Amino acid sequence: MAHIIDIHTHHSGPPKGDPLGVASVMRGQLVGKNMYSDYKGMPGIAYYELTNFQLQQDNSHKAGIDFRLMSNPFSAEVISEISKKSSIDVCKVCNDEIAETCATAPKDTAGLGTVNPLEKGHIAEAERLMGPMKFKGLQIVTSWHGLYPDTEEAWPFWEYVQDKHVPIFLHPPRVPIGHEQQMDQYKLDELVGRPFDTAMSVARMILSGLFDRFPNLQICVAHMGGGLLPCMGRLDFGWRLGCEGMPERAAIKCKNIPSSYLRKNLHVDIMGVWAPHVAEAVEVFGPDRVMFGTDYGPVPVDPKAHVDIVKNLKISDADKDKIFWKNANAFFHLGLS
Amino acid sequence: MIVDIHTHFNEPGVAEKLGINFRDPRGTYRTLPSSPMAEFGQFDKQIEVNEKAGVDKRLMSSPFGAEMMSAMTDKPSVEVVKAVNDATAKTVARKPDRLWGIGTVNPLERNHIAEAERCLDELGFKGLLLTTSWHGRFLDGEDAYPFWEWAQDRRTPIFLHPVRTPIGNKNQMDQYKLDELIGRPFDTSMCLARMILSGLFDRFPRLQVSVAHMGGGLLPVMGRLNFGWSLGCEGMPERAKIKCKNEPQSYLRKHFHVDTMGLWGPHVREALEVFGPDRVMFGTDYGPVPIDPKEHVDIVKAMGLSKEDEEKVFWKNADAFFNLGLAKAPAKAAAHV
Repeated sequence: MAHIIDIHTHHSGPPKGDPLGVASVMRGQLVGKNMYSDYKGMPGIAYYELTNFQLQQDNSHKAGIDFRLMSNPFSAEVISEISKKSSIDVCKVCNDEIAETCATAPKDTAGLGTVNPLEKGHIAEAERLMGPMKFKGLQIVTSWHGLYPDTEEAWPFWEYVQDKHVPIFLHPPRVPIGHEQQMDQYKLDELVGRPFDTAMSVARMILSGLFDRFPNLQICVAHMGGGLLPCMGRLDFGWRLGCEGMPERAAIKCKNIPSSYLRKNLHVDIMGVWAPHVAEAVEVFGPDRVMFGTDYGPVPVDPKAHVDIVKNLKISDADKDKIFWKNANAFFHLGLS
Repeated sequence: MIVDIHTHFNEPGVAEKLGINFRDPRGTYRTLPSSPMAEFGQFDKQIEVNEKAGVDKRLMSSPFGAEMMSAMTDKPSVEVVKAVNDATAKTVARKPDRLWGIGTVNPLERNHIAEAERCLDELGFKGLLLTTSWHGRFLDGEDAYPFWEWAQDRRTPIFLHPVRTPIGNKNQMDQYKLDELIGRPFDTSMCLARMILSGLFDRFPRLQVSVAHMGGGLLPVMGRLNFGWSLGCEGMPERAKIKCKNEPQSYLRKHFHVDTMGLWGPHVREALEVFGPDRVMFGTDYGPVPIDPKEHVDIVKAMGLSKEDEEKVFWKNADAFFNLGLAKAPAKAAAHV
């Protein structure tokens, strides 16, 4: 039977107590039904759809979505900077909340957990999530407190991920690269900064040689790869022209032309509400590596708009089925039939 | 006929004239290592390579020397800009039947308008290159209104090009040429997003700007600008609110033109779909990016365009936009009306 699996949805319920001691810093200001906050000077609106799980379920079902992968994109990375508790305790609290949410709709939702790949102690939490907690994969932010996950500190994590075939979903953080440069206006942190944090993260993974070191890594990237694709030919010519005379730390390390890693190690979702770039993503990654995702919750655009974008792609129905559910079913081992 | 709107040559003597010492040509400007390509400074080779590739005429500009050098001297920035523009005029004079000049100024400084007029009147330049940011500040603020008013009144062809040291440069961009490969298109998308979201085009509704590198990283975030606008800014502080009157996407085919530079066919295709074949122009970045211009030509030829649309991309759009006077019939002034 045909399905639509949404791999990219978020829910964050109203806080239950204050186990991490951050309530006073995190508290927003109610504006209508929504919550305003300005973490690190970046004004932002949290739409009420983020906190209303039943509304999410109803609107998703109405759009024909019958399975959702729930994750929490920002909390762990943000709270770990504020809380006196260890980052691993912060992750646990956030992950337990996702598990609780999914437990209320176990037939049509499953969780993606969050850890910080740059901290070795987080592998134990990753094992808890993928083992007893029965999560379907891990959501990794493209940078954690400004640091990207391609460096040596993250290698033990990537080794674990490769060995255990853990599905990875890469998602930008709340406060992206460049935020100190006039990004407090026009929602630019969300609209432009985050996709560029993603582009930096993925470009670093490719150029640093991470995929030569861990050739079996498989990573699914939110938002059609963020801002990666218009830069892809640039990564290629940067590699082709060479790095002669540059200091060792600055030289590009990957063995093969950067674009050759796209169909080997990367997958993307279609979230962006922009059909021309979904078409480009399908052309570049191929229909086997593109998955349906909506960002529903924090981005309360009717999920139907995303469904229509896929339906209107000029590809075969078989390929649309792959994008709507078969690719996600295989990538996250969801066992739908 | 093929016209390349995006080429650069490093005319020697400018830094010396201004008393600026770059010390080592591979110097680490603002700690971002780079290795300038020899072709940037080889005039005869540029001519030869372009002839071979079938590129008939080129618009020469200085990509970011003025912005960069004005941060390295106590001289007024207008003097730096003048020296750079004089150097561009010198370059054009080396081969006037093949080259036109594009000048450069800082739109955020009011006294640069006189220099902009000198560029167009005395030096005979065909337009002005503006860096997408100047010393970290983007071009949509009030400081730039007099410039935009002048540009609109005079129907000055504008070419937006990213800056040497882009937004986010402090965040691990000193590795893998990330400033060039990711940071610069990111700077471009921030600049364009700000122009749209700040309402600049509502204030100056006849502005026409062409943008390097297929619009930088703008297109994958275009749907984001749309949903950011449609979801509204209720509860946000005034400075943070999105100001444009219409859906962000609606400004694309009214105010923007892009070049094809990026060496990435799939994104040239997206640009053609989004902007339409009347608003895409051939450009190579030859000089600093010494990839055979033939590769860029082949990317356009592989687009499956009609003969008529292909001619538009190769020269007719540039002819109309920069008033080059190439068409036998009087060039349509449509681009500026």
